[in-house]
Amino acid sequence: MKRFRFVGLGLAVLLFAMTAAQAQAPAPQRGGTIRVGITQEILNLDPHVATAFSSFQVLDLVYESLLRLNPRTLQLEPNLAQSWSVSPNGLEYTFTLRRDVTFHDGSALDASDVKATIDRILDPATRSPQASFLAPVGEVTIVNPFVVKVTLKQPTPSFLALLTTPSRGIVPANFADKVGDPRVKTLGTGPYMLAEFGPGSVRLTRYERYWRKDAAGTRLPYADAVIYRVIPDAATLRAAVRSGEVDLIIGFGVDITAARPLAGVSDLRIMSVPDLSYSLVGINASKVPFTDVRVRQALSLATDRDQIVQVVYGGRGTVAGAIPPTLEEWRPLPARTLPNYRRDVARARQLLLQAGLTPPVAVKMLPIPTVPDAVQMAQVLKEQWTPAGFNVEIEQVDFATFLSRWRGSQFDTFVSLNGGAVDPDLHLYRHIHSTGSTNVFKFKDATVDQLLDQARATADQSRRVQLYTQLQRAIAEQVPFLFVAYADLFAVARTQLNGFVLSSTRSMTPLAESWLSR
Amino acid sequence: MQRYVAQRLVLLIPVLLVISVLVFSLMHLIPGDPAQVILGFENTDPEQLAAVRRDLGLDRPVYVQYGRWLGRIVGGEFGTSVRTGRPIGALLREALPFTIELAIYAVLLAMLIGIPVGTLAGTTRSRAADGAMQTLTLLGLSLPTFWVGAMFILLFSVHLRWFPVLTYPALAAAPLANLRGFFLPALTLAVPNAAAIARMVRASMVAVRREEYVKVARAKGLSEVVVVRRHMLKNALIPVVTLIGIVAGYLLGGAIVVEQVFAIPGVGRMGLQAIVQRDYPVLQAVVLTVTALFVLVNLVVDLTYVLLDPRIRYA
Repeated sequence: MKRFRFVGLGLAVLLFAMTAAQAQAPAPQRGGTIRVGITQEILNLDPHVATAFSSFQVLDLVYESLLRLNPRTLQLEPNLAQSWSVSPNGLEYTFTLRRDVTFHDGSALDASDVKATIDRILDPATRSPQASFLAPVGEVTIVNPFVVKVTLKQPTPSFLALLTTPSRGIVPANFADKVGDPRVKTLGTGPYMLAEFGPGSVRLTRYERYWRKDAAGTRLPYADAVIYRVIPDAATLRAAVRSGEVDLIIGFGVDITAARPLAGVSDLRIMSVPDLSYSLVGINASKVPFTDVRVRQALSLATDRDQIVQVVYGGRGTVAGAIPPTLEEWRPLPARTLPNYRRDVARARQLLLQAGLTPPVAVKMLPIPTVPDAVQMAQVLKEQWTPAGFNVEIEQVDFATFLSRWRGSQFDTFVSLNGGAVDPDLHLYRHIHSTGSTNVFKFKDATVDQLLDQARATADQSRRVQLYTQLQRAIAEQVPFLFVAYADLFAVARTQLNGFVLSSTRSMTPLAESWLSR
Repeated sequence: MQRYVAQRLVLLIPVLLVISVLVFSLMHLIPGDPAQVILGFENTDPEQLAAVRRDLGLDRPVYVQYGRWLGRIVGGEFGTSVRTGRPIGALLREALPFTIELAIYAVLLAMLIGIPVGTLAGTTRSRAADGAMQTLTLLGLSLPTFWVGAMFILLFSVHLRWFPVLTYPALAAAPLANLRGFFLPALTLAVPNAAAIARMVRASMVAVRREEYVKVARAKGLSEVVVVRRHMLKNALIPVVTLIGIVAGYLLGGAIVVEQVFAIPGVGRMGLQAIVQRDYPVLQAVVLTVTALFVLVNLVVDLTYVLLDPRIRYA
């Protein structure tokens, strides 16, 4: 009898605990304005022309593309296209569009809008920097109002990954007529629409007829509005989230040095996730002595990447090669297995001598001014490279000058941050292939070119993985530039902001599923 | 008097012309290209770059570009921002109220702090007090503005919560909230200027108190307060007024740093962004506006002398 009472009591306690736990799981609340603090000015809201990261932080909520990447798993998911198929020869992509999507002016999305979007990007008059990405597109055919067929000129396995960002966001046909100046006015299908574009801030309001619903069937987004405040000073940005002026700080300026002092504060939540972007030391392979691969290898051997991660990133980063460590399905090789990755000062000196040089070898280094880590990294590299026989002179220039020298390949070396992508071809080709559109290093190697070309021509995933494994080693061997590390991404939010997922892609789309608890 | 003012105003035009030529030349001499800034790091396509340059009129020779710009200005139009495509007139109209309010608030605070401190320092018998105020003013002059601003935010906004951070409602709409919101940035901007004013007032006071007429005033039995206020201060203030005219220039410049730290979307920040992004038309507009303001402020300063010193008259 006593035993039954005991069990009965235990069951009651268990049931009570379960219902209590259920009651504590917060249900999303509608309403309120989410305030986001960012450090970069917002300049241009034309999705196909804008290049600044801050623009995309806003555009993520206003324009959508055919597919999207799951913020957590980074897998391809349907978005405006509810399904798609690829022909066996890899040239024809057929997208079936959702039927319930409307633009912010109420007009329905259909296949003509998709065709108009791709045409707009490819039209030279648009001057879209995205045109080079869509270069493989041969023809866009409207099969019926909700089915679009894109025919490529050659098989491009990375094509679907391209269609996941607002830079290829779908705009309506007759976009320019409907919207006026697309740099300051918007017309998209996303959860929020542009309400105000003022000095230092952008205000978006909820689009009531947004198509996406949450798991319970409630129409998204939850919050009434989202305001982006531009706060150029990183210290002020931290103060703003601490004092409650903004609910979330994210993007440039929010790094380990920003997050660390906020770690103990009770009403703040620090989020971090491995980044797809990587820091690099670019080397001008067309300039003597860097034309000699031994000299480039010596630079790699002189670098202590682990120390850089410790000093510059506070230990919050991963040393890696050409494939981001977070993309496990592409088998990123561990750094210690890559050639020229383990610091060996003696070997570096030896290589310099073999190349016919007498130390010290003068090297100029140009850190990108808009990324504070870059300047720090340059200073650490200067110290690391000196015992290997290099005499580094750090040149500090302003952003536009850096851009000009980067573009014109007027540098010995530079330190910068490159954006990453979920498909290795998008991640690597344009920087490393001898015909690559951003190969400012003037790097040219037949083997590397061949591997890159083969890997982008086959749809066979396992074959591509094999090729990229070879490529990782070839890149570490031939050194087009130094991959240094993939640092962790940070964001800091007030605890009132629920449901935001920080993604390795830096996307702001999870704000559509975030809400403020009062 | 009217002729004097008219003459000064007419002189504004050659000043603005020279400045505009200087800025234009400088911008084209430094490396960096607005078309490149627009295209960013996405690709290095030379055709696309050439096309954007053509769109922006950058393919014409520099003097042609200047001529076209000058034509527009004379027609009353500032043009459009290269970077955002928005009309610069509208951008200035949005940004100016912030900077002007910041500058006026800062000057008032600087005078409110600087003149009493300087007067005290200049009239006190205590060497310790004078020394303390000397040190204080030295600190005020030496501490970098961005650090002072950041410290104020940390202390008064984050920890003490006496002032909000980043709230700048329009003055007409919410006067009290506006004054509270602008207080910290104005104070930050005021600190070095208050220090300069205090030093100038102190020096003036020390010079003036040795004058014969002050001794006479004291001999007449007037209280020290009356002596200071009626006889010493007005004379001591003349060099200070000159200083304020110069300070006005620094204020507009110092406002750049303060606007950056406090995220105020004013003219200073607009100018800074224009330089970074090589937005030539915006920079020209900002420089012209600031120059014009500076010249006008100095004109007002010159006219103020007439109020302070009846011996000064303009033909």
